[in-house]
Amino acid sequence: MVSILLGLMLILLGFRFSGPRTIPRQFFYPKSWPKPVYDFKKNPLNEEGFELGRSLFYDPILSGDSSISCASCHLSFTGFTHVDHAVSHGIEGRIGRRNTLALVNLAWNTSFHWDGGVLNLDQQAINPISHPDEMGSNLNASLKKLSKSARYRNLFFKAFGDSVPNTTNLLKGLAQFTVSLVASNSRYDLFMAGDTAAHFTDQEKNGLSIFRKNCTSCHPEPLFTNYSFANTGLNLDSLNPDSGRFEITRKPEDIFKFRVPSLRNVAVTFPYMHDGRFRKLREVINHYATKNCQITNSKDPVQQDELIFDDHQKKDILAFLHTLTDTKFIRENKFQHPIK
Amino acid sequence: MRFFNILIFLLGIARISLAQELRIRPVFGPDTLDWGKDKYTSAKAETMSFSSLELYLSDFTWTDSSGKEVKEPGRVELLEAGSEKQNLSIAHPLGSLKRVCFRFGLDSATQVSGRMDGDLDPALGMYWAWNTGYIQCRLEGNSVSSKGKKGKFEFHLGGYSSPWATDQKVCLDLTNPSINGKQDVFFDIKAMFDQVSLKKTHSVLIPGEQARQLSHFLGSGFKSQLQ
Repeated sequence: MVSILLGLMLILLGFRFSGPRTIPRQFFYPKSWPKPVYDFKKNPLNEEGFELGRSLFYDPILSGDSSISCASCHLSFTGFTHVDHAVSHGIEGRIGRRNTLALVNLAWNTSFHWDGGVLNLDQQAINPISHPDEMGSNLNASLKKLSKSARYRNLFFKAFGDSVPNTTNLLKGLAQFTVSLVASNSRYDLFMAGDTAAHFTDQEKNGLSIFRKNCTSCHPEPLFTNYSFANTGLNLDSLNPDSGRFEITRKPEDIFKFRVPSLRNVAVTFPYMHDGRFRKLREVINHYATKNCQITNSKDPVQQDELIFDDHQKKDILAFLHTLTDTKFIRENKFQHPIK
Repeated sequence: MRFFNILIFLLGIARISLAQELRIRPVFGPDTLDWGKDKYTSAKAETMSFSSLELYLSDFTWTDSSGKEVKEPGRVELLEAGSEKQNLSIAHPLGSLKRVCFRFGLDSATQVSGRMDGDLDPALGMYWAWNTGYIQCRLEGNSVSSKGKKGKFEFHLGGYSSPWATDQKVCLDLTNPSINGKQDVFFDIKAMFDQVSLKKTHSVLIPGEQARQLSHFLGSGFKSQLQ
């Protein structure tokens, strides 16, 4: 009798301390890429955590009036950004001040946002959730709403063994989904891997060659960003003054510097620049090829001498940049809205 | 069986009575802070009242009268005081303390570690969402000298990037005896208002030179004795 009771106690204790059984989720990326910066040990991926994050990402429940989700500004079919307007829109039609960044290959990011103010993917989502011009909520209010949902209590338990949503698990769940947004199957990737089906036209090959000569100091392969901040000589907008990286570091040399974004999926993630001033990719190329750049003290020295491209070269670069679109990534079912 | 129950009960009582706490008592010069009352005057002849105070202390080293030392690196305590809340006690593992050292604020490693548990939960409202990091000290109140809305002043001080890191090591030799397991030290916020005129500065909400300077004025206000 005693041994049966002891056995039952051990079984119960086992359930108590082992938590839910989760299915580990692999994080795949090409062997030739550098190692990710994201610390997976602090947030081991599992299918349940990914599904929780996916559900949260597409659910307006996180916003103040339950009208806006992460996906409202980060739409999968446009490379997880918004292409309808220059800067982000929030609850009650509020307008932000910067262009929505595309979510791609975030596991390699050393910082987040246009000014690099956030240093950890796990903490990134606090900003859009609590910003008055974005989701207009706060962590306590969002957690309260989630804790009232039997569906979310179940999802949180399955992922983290605790049915009560808390800050850590909310943010780790979201990060499990967003860190999984890896785009590595563009035609460029297949071409580089020697896939015979991934044919590059002469124009695209020439575009790649010009790109490598002129653009890779800031946009190096294979991730197409050096994760730094640069002043690219954009004319200052007196109606939307923004000193960029300086707002975080307060260093004079950082004034008007903004994130160097990855160029993966760049053809579908218009508009461009921190304030979305350019609707077309060719406008961006023209900007770099123009001599009308506004010269301020912090302008990137690489660009002090403007890049001179003729019209043919501009078209070739454009053709190459289109090869960076990963349609498999954009259409991946696992990254779409979960069917309830 | 009954004997064991009684033993556990007695041990519980003994544990409660052995609980030792360091109390951080906010004061303004020689006066205990009375939240919301307009009666404090700085060396700049400015009168003010206070509505709330929140501050982070971390990385504790406790030393008792026998010289025994216990280090608690990584421990973080968020202390709060105001008309609606009072949470200014820190439990420690020793008896009567001779000396305590702690960090006023959080070190840069903690700020960027991604830890969001316990007192580091960003939902507690001490986290800057737009700029990774925690507010080291939040002090708010009102003064006729302040040019803020309805005379409000707000100091949200913090920042960990060089050269504007606001965290500081503080060590205090305790002279007050432990009474019922509680030993007091003082946090004299007059130290800042004697240096800063509310007429000129009523709001600091971002990291930078001002935040660094003001936090050091505040950091000099930790004392083991009332003046």
